[in-house]
Amino acid sequence: MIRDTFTIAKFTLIQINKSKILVNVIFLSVAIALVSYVLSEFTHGVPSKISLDIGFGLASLSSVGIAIFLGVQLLSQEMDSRTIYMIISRPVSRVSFYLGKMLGMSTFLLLNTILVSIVALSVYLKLNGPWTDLFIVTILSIALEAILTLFVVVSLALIVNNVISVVTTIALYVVGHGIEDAKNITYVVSRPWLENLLRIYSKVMPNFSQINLKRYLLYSLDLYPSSWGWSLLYGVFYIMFLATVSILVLRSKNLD
Amino acid sequence: MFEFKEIKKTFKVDFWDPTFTVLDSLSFKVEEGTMCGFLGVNGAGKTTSLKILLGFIKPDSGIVEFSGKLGSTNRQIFSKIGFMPERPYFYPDLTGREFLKYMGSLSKLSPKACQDNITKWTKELSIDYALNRKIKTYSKGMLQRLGFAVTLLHDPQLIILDEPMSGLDPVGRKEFKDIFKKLNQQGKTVFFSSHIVNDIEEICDHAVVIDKGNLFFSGKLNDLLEKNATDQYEVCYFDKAIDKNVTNLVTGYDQSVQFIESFLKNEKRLTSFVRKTLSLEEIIYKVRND
Repeated sequence: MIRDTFTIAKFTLIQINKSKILVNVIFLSVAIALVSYVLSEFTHGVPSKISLDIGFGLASLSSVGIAIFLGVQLLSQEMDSRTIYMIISRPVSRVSFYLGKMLGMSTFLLLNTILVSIVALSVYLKLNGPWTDLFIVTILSIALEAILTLFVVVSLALIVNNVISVVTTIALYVVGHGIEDAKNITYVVSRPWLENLLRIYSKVMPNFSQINLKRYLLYSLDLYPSSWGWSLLYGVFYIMFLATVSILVLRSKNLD
Repeated sequence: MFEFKEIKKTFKVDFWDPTFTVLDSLSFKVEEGTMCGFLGVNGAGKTTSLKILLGFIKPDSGIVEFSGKLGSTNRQIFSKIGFMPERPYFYPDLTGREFLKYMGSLSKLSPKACQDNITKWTKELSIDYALNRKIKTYSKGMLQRLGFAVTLLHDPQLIILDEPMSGLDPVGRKEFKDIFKKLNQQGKTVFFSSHIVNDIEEICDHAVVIDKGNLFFSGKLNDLLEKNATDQYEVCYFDKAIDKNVTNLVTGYDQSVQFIESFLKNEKRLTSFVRKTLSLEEIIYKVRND
């Protein structure tokens, strides 16, 4: 089973890579360099931080975008084009198939995040920004955020159609990022039922703000290993939860 | 090799729509080493049956039983099955060779065995020249050939094909049929669906015919043809007097023999003596309209 999973992951990665999506890294690199240069001309004091903000922002946006728009087709296209029949009519379980596809796509997202982040960091360091080990944790959190988004969209695509999956995932992503701030709004705090509702939502639904470590880096906030460790662990556990649900759905799904 | 036992499958297009029955207690058996055609008009339930056979969808009731020779676990059974779906469409950005290697590795072939089988089957199916090209550049017929090569890559004992010859030109159809025969002669069981009756009549020894989800016939193709044969005999001879071939239709075997005996006495030259039978296509057309 493990061998099958890695084989499927390997060829999924080759296939995505051959579709030339990584070319977006070149465009994003040019955009980061250009915007950082322009903004450094207009900002005083912290041009390096602004370039880092833009760079990590674009890394996050591109990885999440790829996760949503490629992820939604990851399994559904296999079913539509009947390619899945060629695979699972061999001694390959549906679980291996799912895990392999997700592992391949997640590796691609990690690769994309690392490449764009390296460009962002290079520009930042060129503008004399100081180095901190938090960069590595932040890049990991950006990749984890994209991978979590991928698992969300794929789980939904197994139940509803692609359009609804994309729209719902985007909504969950936006709400998931704003949920922690929303809990502190006076309007919410003054209404306990609403506060409880948001608390339950943030516990049950994907809470993307939990794994958003960019703000700690950009606003120089204190971030202890236990805090970022917990954040990354939250992401990993949520991914495992979604993977379990998806496997249960896929195992009983009629592939017609 | 496998047996369908009382398989029933219904579908619902939408939640509020009534269910419709695609397969209605369908039972048939495909014996080991046979070349069996799976025949039915469009919408008869052939593809649904194949999906149930391979576990892609679950039947509402009934079971599919595989022969113990294929193995006892799903993993063992599926390692001995080769399946090609109708109009296969593969990963467009992979090359043909990459896709074959991918499938070979999922079939647990060693790299050497995989390479040997790729060379063997792609040459046999005349697709070897395009293996380094991306699949998105392949024509429909080339995709079909690649799909068939993938199906045969791991030397399966049971070969299941869904409309394998759709999209092929006459040369391709001939090549595919020859390979089916060759595989069958090697002892493989070939089960393929088609709505083209002539293809099945030409190469199959057994047939399963379904109509609207019900079994119409299952067994030896000759039995079906024999069952629907007429009692008429066509006697063709050369008549010297008028200097051309003459055909006479005689009803009844004894009458035909008498007829031949009488005209042999007259020293006429017999060209052919054939029992008039309906073609498989005619039989199916007749039964559907009865």
